[in-house]
Amino acid sequence: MTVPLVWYVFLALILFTIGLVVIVSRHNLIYTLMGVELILNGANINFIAFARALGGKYPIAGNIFSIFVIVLAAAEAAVALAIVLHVFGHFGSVRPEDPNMLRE
Amino acid sequence: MSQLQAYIKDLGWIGPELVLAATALVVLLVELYRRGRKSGWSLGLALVITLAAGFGLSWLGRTFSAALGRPVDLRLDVAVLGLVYVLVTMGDLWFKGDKWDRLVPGLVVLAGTLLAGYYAVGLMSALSADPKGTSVFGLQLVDSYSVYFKLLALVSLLVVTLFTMNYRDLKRGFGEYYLCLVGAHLGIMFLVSSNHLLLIYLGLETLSLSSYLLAGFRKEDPRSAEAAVKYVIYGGVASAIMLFGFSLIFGLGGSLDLVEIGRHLAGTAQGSNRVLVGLGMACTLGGLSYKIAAVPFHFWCPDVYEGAPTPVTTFLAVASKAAGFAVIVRIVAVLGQGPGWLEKVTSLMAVASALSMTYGNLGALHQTNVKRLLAYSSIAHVGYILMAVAALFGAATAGEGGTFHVDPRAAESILYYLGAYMIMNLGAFGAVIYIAKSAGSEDMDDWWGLGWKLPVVSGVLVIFLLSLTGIPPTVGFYGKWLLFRTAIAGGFLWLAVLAAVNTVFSLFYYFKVAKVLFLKPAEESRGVTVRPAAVMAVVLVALGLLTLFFGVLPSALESLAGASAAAL
Amino acid sequence: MDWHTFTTVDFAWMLAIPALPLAAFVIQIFFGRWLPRKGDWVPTTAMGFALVLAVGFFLKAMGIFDPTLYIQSSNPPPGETGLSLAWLFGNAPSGAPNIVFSVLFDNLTAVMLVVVTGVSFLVHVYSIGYMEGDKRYGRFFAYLALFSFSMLGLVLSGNLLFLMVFWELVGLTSYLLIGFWFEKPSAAHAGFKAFITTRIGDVGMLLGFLIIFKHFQTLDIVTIFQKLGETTGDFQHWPGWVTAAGLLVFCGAVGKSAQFPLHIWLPDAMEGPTPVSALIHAATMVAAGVYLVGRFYLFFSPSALLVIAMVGSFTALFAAVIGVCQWDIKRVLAYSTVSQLGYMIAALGCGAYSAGLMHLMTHAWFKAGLFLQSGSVIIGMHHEQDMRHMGGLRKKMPITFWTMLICTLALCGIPLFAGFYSKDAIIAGAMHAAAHGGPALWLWYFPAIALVVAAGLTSFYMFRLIFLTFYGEPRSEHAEHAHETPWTMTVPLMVLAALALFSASPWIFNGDVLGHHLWFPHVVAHPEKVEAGRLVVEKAAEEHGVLPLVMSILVALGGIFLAWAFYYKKWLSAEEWARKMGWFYKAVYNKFYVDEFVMKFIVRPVVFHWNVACAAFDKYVIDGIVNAVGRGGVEASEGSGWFDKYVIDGIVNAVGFTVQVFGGIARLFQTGFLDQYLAFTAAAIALGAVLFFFFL
Repeated sequence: MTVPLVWYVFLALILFTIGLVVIVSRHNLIYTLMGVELILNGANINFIAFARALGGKYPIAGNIFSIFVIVLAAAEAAVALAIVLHVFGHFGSVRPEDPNMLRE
Repeated sequence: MSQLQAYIKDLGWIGPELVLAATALVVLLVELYRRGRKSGWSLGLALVITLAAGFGLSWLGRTFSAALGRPVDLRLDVAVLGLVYVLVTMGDLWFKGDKWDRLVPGLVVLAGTLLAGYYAVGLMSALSADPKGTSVFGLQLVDSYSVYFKLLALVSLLVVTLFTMNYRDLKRGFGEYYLCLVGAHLGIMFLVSSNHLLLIYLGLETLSLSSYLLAGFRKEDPRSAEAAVKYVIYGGVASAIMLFGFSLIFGLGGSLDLVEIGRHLAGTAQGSNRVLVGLGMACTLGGLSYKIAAVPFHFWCPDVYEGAPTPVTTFLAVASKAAGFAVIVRIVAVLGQGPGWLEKVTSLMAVASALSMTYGNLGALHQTNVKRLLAYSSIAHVGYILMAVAALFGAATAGEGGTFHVDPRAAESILYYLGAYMIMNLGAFGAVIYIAKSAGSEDMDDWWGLGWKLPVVSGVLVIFLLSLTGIPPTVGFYGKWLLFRTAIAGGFLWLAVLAAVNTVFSLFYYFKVAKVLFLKPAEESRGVTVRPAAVMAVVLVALGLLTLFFGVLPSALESLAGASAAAL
Repeated sequence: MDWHTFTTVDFAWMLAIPALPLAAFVIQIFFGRWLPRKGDWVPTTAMGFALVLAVGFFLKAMGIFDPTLYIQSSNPPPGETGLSLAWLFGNAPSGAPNIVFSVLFDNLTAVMLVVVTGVSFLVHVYSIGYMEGDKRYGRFFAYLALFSFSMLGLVLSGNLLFLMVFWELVGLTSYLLIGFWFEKPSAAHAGFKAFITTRIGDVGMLLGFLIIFKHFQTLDIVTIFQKLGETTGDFQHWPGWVTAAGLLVFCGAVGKSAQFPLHIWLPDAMEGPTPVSALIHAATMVAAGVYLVGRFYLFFSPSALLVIAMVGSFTALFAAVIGVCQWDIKRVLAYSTVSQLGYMIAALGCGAYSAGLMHLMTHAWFKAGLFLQSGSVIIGMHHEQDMRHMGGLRKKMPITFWTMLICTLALCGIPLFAGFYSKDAIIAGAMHAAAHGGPALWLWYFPAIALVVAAGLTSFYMFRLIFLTFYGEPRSEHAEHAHETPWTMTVPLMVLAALALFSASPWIFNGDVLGHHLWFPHVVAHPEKVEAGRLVVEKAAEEHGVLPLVMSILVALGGIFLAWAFYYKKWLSAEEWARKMGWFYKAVYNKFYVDEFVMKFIVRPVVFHWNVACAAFDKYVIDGIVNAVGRGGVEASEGSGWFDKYVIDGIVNAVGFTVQVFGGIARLFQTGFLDQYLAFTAAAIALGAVLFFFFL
C-alpha cells in the first residue's frame, strides 16, 4: 500500500521541530550542529517525497537536490567543527555562553 | 557537436565567474609554490596541480577549436606551457621574502578582478539592448540585474583586497585568506544570477562557508574566534531553516525554477495547502533575512562585525548584504505575485523594515566601538531598503492573469541604494581601518582630536557619515529620497514617516564620530603611532569623491540601476 | 506680462548670481591661505559682482513695474527656449518624473536678491575690519561665501527639492558660522543647538513636502499651485490635508525664523562673530522662513493662516517682553529680531502679504545695520558687551552713534523712516483682520493687540539700549578709552543707515508721505491664484484709515518717552520698578521658565517611569555630549545661564531620553550569548508564523 504524501511532510515537519528544539535547548555547540543536521535531513525528506510525487519534466530534480544538500551539509559540518575546535582552543569550552567577549 | 557549440557560446556569458575561478586557482598555486620553499609536500602538490591544469587547458583548447571548426592551433599548447612557467617562477623566484606573502596573492586577485570587471562591463553593455538576457545551462540567468550585482561584487572584491593588503593585523595565511575571499565573491556571483533553487542554495552556501572562515581569520585573537563561531552556528541554523523552506516551496510549487514556482503558487492563497505554502515562504524569507541581518535575524551582526578583521567586516557589510538583497528581491518578486500572498509577503517585509530601522538606529546610539556602531547602522540601512522591498509591487494593481508585477521604479531605487550603500560603506570601513590603525584602538574614546592629525581621511569619513545619514549633496541623500518615494508610492506612508524620524535619530550617532574626531584640537589627542599606506588614503578619497559626485549627478548610477531593474 | 523681456541669457545671468560666491568659496577654501591678505578680497569682490547683477535685475523688474510678473525659466512660451537643468537625464525608466531645476523669478525674488547680495557684500567689507587678526581669517570669508551661495540658491529655486537642498545648506553653513570660534565651548554648543532646533522644524517641512508630492506628483512650484487651484475649486474649499501640509511646511519656517517654541537657538547664536549675526540672524537666514511662507502663500488655508498669525504675534510679544530685561547688547538685538520676525509672520497670517514682506526688506537693512553697529561698539569697547559697563560713547564714537540712532528710529517705526511704512502697514493689516476676520472671529483680536503692545515695548527697549550705551557717564575703563572703528567698518554702517531711511520711501517711484502708493506693495502684491503659469494678484486695499497710523505713532513715541524717563532723565528708577514688579520681573528675567517647565513636566516623568520599569542605566553618550558641552559652557550674558542649561538639556534630553528608553531594548537583546540569540530567533519565528497565519 502506498504511503500518502502528507505523511512524509509530517515526518519532515516533526524532524524540523525536533531539530529546532535541540538547537535552542542544548547548551552545547556540538548539539547545536546536530540539530542543524536534523533540520537539513527533514528538508531532504521533503525533497525526495515531493520529487517522487511530482513526476513532471524532471522527476529526479528533488533527488539531485538532496544529494547536493548532503554534500553541502558535510562541508558545513567540517567548517563548523573546525571553528568550534578553534574556539575551544581559545575559550576552553563548547558551551555557547562562554565566548562572551562581544556583547551589547 | 552542435550541443558542444551551444555550450561554448554559453560559456561566454559566465565570463566573469570563469575569470574569478581561474584567479582563485592561480592564488592557490602561487601560495603553494611559496610554501614549497619550506615544505616538500606543498611543492609537490603545486607541481601536480599545475601540470594537470596545464594539460587540461590545452586539451580543452583543442577540443573547442575543433568544435568551432577552426584548425587545431599548436600555439595554444605553447601559451599554456609558458603560463605554467610564469606561475612557477612567480611563486618561487620573484618576490622572495615574507614581506611579499601579504602582497603577492593580493596582486593576483587585483589582476583577476580587473579582468573580470572588464568582462562584466562588456556584458553590461551587451545586455543594454536586451536586459532580460539569456539563461545559461538552464540554471543561471544572465540579465542586467545580475550583472549589476556582479559589478558591485567585483568592486567590493577590489577594494577589500586593497584594504587587506594594508591591514597589518592579519599575520599569516594570506593564500587561504584570498582563496576564501575570491571563493566568497564567486559564490555571490552565482547567487545573484540564478532563478533556480539549487543554484541559489549552492551560491549561498559557498558565500556563507567562506564568510565563516574569513570571520575567524585572526587566529591569535579570541574575539575573531568568537565572531566565527557565532556566525557559523547562527548561519548554519538559518540556512537550514531556509532549506526547509525551499523544500516546501519546491514541493508545492512543482519545480525548482522560481518562475514556475511563482506561477503555481500564485493562486494558492485560498487553497487547502495554504498553511504549508505560507510556512515555506516564511522559512525561506526568514533564512534569507539572516544573510542581510534584518530584525529578528540580526543577532549575529553586531558581534560578528566587531570581532572579525575589519576588511572582512567590510566585505560582509557590503557584498554579502547586497547579494542577500539580490536574492530576496527575486524571491519576493516571485512569491508575492499571487493575489492572496501579496499582502502577506509585503506586510512581513514592512514589519521587518520597521523593526530593523528602529532597532538599528536605537542600538547604535550608545556604542563606543566604531565597528559595532557601523554594524547597527547597517541593520538600520537594511530597514530602509526593506521599506522599498515592501513597496516592490508599487501601487499593487493586478496585471494579466490576476498576478502582480514588480514596479520597476521600486526595483531601481533598491538597486541604486545598494550601489550607493556600497560606496559609502566601503569608504566608512576603510576610514575606520586607517584611523583605528593610527590610534591603536577601535574605540571612539581613544579617537579624540585625531581628525586634526589625519585630516584627509577624517574629512573623507565625515563625507561618508553625511552620506549615511542622508544629507545632501551626497549619494546617500538621493538614495534615501528614492527609497522614500518608492515607499510612499507603494502606500507605505507610515514606513516613510518612521524612516524620516529614524534618520533624525541616526544624526546623533553619526555626528558623534565626527564630533569626536574634530572637536578637540590636535595637540590634545593621543599620538599617531603608525601611518598606514598612502594607497588607502587615495582609495578613500576616490570613494569620497564618488559619494559627492553621484550625489550631485546621480543620473549615471541611476540609469544603470534603472536599466538593471528593467530585467526583473 | 511681457515674458519676452526675459530671455535665456537673462536666466543664465541669474544663475551666475549664486555661482559667483560658490566659485569664491571653492577658491578660498583651497587656495585662500596662499593668497595675499589670505584672500579676503576674493569673496568680497565676488559678492560685489553678484550685487551688481542683482541690482541690474531689480531695476529691470522695476522698469516693468507689474505685480503679476511671475516667470519660471522652464515654462517658456512657445518660441522661446527657456532654461532648465534636468537633474535626471537619460532614460528615466517608466516615466519617472523628471526633476528639473528651474529659476522662479518674480518681484519678490528681485527684492530678495538685492537684500541678500547687498547685506552680504556689506558684511564682507565689514568683516575685513572686524575679524582682523583672527587665526582663521581666510576660512571665515569662505564660509560667508558658501552661506551666500546657499541663500541665493534658495531664493532662486523654482522646485521644492532644490528649495530643500538649499534650505539644508543654509542650516549647515549657519552652524559652521555660529560655531566659528569653536574653542569656546559655549559657541560650539550654540552651533549644535541651532542645528538641532532648526532640524526639528525641517522634519516638519520635509513631511509637508512629501504630502504635497504624494497628492500632486510634482515638485514644481508653479504646477503645484495650479493643481491646488483645481483641487480647492479656486481656493474656496480647503481639504484637510492641505491645511495639514501647509502647517507642516510652516514648521520649517518656525524653526528657521525662530518663532516660539523653536526660538531658543537665536539668542545663543550670538556666540558667533557679530558679522555673522548681522548676515544670518538679521537679514537673511531667518528671513528664509518668512520667504518660505511668502512663496507658499497660496497653500495656506484660512485655518492655517490663523495659526500662523497667532504664532507670529505671540512670538512678537513674548520676545519683546524678554528683550526689555537683557543686559547684553547683542542679546537685546537678538530678542528684537525674534520679535520682528514674529511681526512678519503675523502680518502674513493676517493677510497683509505686502506689509509682511516689506518689513522683511526694511528689517534686513536696519537690523543688519544695528548688529554691525553694535559690533562696532563692541570692538570700540575692546570686546565688552555688557551695557551696564558702557555709557557716554556718543562723543567717542560719533559715526556709530548717529547710524545706530537712525536704524533704531527705523526699527521703532518713526514716520519718514523705512521701518515706519512697513510696521504701520502690518498693524493696519492686523487691525483689518481683527475687524473682518476669518474663522473664530474673536481670536483675530489677539494679533492686533499683541502687535501694538509689542511695538511699544520695542521702542522702549531699543531706546533703553541707546541711552545706556551712548549717554550718561562712562561706567567702566573700556568706556573711558573707547574709540571709533576703521572706515571698513563704518562705511557699511552708513550705507545701511541710509537704506534704513530711504528704501521704502514713497518718493521713489512716485508715492506720498503718508504711505499711499508705496512702490513695494505695488510690485509685491497678495497673490490670488496661478492661472496658466501667471500670477493673478488681489488688488490691495489702499486706505487703511487713520486709526492704525495714529496708534502706531503714539505707541512708538510712548515707548521712547518711557525709555527717556527711565534711563536718561532718571525720573523713574528702573531698579525700583523691577523690585515692585517682583515675581513678574523675575519671571521675565528667567525667560518665563519655559525651560524649567519642559524639564519638570516632560523630562522627569519619562525618566522616573523608565527607572522604575528597568534595571541600571549606563551613561549614554547623548547625555555625555549634553553634559560635557553644557558643563563647560561659558555664558555670554548673565541671565541666560538657566535658559541655556535647561533648554538644551530639556529639549535634547527630552528627545534623547525618550530615545534611550527604547535604545535600552537593543541592549537587552544583544547579550553576547549565542544560545540566547538562537532562542530569540526561534521565538521570533514562532511568533511570526502565528501572526502570518492569523492576522496578516
